[in-house]
Amino acid sequence: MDMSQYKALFLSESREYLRTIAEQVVALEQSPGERSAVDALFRGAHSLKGMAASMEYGDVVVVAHSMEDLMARVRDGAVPFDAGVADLLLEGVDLIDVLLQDVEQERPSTLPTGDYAQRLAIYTPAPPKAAPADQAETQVSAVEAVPSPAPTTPAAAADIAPPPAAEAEKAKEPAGEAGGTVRVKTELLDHLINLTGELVTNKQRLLTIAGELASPALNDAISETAKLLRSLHDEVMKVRLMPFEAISDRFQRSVRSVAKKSGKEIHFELTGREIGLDRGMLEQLVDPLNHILRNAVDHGIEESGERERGGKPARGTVRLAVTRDRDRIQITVRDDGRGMEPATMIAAAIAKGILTPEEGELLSPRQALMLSCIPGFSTAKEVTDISGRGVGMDAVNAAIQKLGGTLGIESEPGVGTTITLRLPLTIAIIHALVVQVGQVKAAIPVNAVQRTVELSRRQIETMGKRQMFQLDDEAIPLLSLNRVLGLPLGRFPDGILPLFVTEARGRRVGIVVDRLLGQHELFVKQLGRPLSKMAGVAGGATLGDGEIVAILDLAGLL
Amino acid sequence: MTPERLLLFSAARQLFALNLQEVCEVMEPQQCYPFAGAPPHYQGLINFHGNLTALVDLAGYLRLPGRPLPGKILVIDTRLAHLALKVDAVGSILDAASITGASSHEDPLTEALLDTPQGNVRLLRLETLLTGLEQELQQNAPNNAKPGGT
Amino acid sequence: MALKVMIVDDSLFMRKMLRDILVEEGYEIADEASDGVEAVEKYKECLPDLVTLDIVMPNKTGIEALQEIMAYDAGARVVMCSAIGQEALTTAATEAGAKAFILKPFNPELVTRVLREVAQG
Repeated sequence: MDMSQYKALFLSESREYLRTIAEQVVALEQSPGERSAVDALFRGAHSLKGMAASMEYGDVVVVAHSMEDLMARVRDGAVPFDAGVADLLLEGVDLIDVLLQDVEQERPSTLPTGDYAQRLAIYTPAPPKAAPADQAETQVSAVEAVPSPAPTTPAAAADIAPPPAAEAEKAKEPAGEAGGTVRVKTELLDHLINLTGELVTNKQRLLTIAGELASPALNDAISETAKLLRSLHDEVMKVRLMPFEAISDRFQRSVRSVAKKSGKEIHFELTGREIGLDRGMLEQLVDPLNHILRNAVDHGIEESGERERGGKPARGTVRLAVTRDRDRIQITVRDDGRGMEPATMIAAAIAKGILTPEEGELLSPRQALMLSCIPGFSTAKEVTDISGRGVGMDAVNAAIQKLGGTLGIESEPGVGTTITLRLPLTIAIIHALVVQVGQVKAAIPVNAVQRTVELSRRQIETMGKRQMFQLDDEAIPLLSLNRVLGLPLGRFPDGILPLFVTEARGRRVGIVVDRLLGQHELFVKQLGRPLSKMAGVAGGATLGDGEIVAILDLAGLL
Repeated sequence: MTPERLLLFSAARQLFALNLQEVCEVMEPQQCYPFAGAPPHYQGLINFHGNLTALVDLAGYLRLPGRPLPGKILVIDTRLAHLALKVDAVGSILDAASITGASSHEDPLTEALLDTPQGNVRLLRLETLLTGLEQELQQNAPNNAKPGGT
Repeated sequence: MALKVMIVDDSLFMRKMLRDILVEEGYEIADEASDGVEAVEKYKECLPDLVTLDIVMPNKTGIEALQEIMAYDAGARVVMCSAIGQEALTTAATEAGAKAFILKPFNPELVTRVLREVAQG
């Protein structure tokens, strides 16, 4: 066992014990019968001995051991605590103090412990006390002169040291590349990320304090820390990246099997298999991507006869492409099938009672395509067949949102459909809007927030049972987050309703809250059993002041 | 099967036990942050060594009358769940050897009713408790609130 | 499943050393206590699988703490730690229910062997 790492702790704790021993000796001289002081003295010497033995500092062990034995005799009543005992103990304290200085300076012991142990062992009350005490004093003063000039040298040496060390590092680098990999346990990675996340949380706390103190110097230091933290976070996250090909095999297999089952000829292309994604995210992408691919083959691509009649090659093509720009991953699934018709989608939604005809008219083509992600819509068989898309698209959308991503659908009837997933590079740290609803706070990932609005009550229009407001010439329905969460409704005495705009069921909705508390950088923590089963909650996070907020999953909630 | 060692505790004037292996810590009541959308016996979230842990009032979940005591918090082993139970008091650890009798119980949450020197003890099935809590959360899912009301 | 150990010693140095040895061996450190009173309190909170208990400590000796822990949990697995010179107390500790002894200074191999034996009953 490498003991050098314990040296600093040994020194500081030993000196504490020495201080305690000296204090207790003085206390005992005042009131010799004090049992607790006798015990404390004994323990001090005993602990010192044990620590020194662990460090293999033999001289300290010998001195401490004899002090312990002497105190045991005092404790057991064999020897009274008198001035002689006190002197001997203080002499031992001084001896050990000098020995510790030698240890600290890493030089051989300069002080012979001489007959100290023997004198303690044979100690009997009322001996002449002058001799040993004097001897100790002279020894100590003689030694104390030695160490003082020493400190300047190591400090000067340290100033010169870094350049050669850095050069040595540089020189090593190219050689390191050949075999420069280390196996690391995944728990260790998770732990690193956890620590990084806690640091981010703590930085947020510092920001709060800095805001109260209004100190420019502190602000500078924190923004520098924030920069460093971002690079630390980026580096740590890179370690977690795994190439997409870790999961891409399964897609090839499932496309082939669906094609076979449905009797279609499919050409499957995969690009970007080398792109690295967070390993946690990869696992959670398997099901959604499988779903999208199966839909493309099953419902998107036409029968070969139909394709030929439409002037297309008999064989359909499905392309899965993974690309990465600076801090986002984009995954697209593109087919050259029949595409989706927005008008058909709207008609189907009206038929299902999901939309009123008036609402249907307000939908843009893009919004109409997003109807396929509404739960009640997409599970219906007949809708699936009409739309060419559908089964479980709501689940796919929810899964992508849970990862902090977005799902987009583009389609041209007769030409094909492209589904685009945009994902953050990592899932651990997100930006979120924190809101107050009733007595609780909640966080909403900013990827789900289009904008925030402070609405005057006068701007609210009532259409039938619904309350709406106008934004960019679009009537947007209002929904109370308090009501969704089963909390008492807000009162808004000043007539201003804070809200954020999000997209739900393919169209924009204004979500009214009691207060908008601002944007925060949050380190997302997954919830375990049982809360992992709670719909509408994607995880939790700690705010700068230690407060815990739930991160809402709007797709699951609305 | 009765585990080797049991942790005894009380809630709503009843004695309960859990397999000691399933409990990782007994804590004093601490700062807990409420969150929305869960049944009332969820008192909130606590931070247990970095794990966001749901604090559930056991008496409340069992529909038993609660008592106004500060109580104790039993943190379930973090490898099994992120769950802490608020109980009234924690007793000693009971060695299986000191159990004098056991009978089965129709309540699926109860592994057995044990006769112990401390009296009758309901030994809880943690897995059943967790599944029950999960099912309750799923049934409690927010029913699609209609747009419009503020 | 990693076993949880509670380390009781009044010396921070000793706790750190023991903690390093145990963590290296894959044990989880449930908690640490620096005196006998704290040891009993923390035992009831962290419910460790194993305890290493120093004998010479302030506010309740290791032996007294051992007696209280055993009264609370007759199945407690406690290993006493002591430096040379405390052999006289081993009988008292065995009678009170200690499962084994470790002599300081700690020898990593010995510590892990003793704890493994105690853990396996």
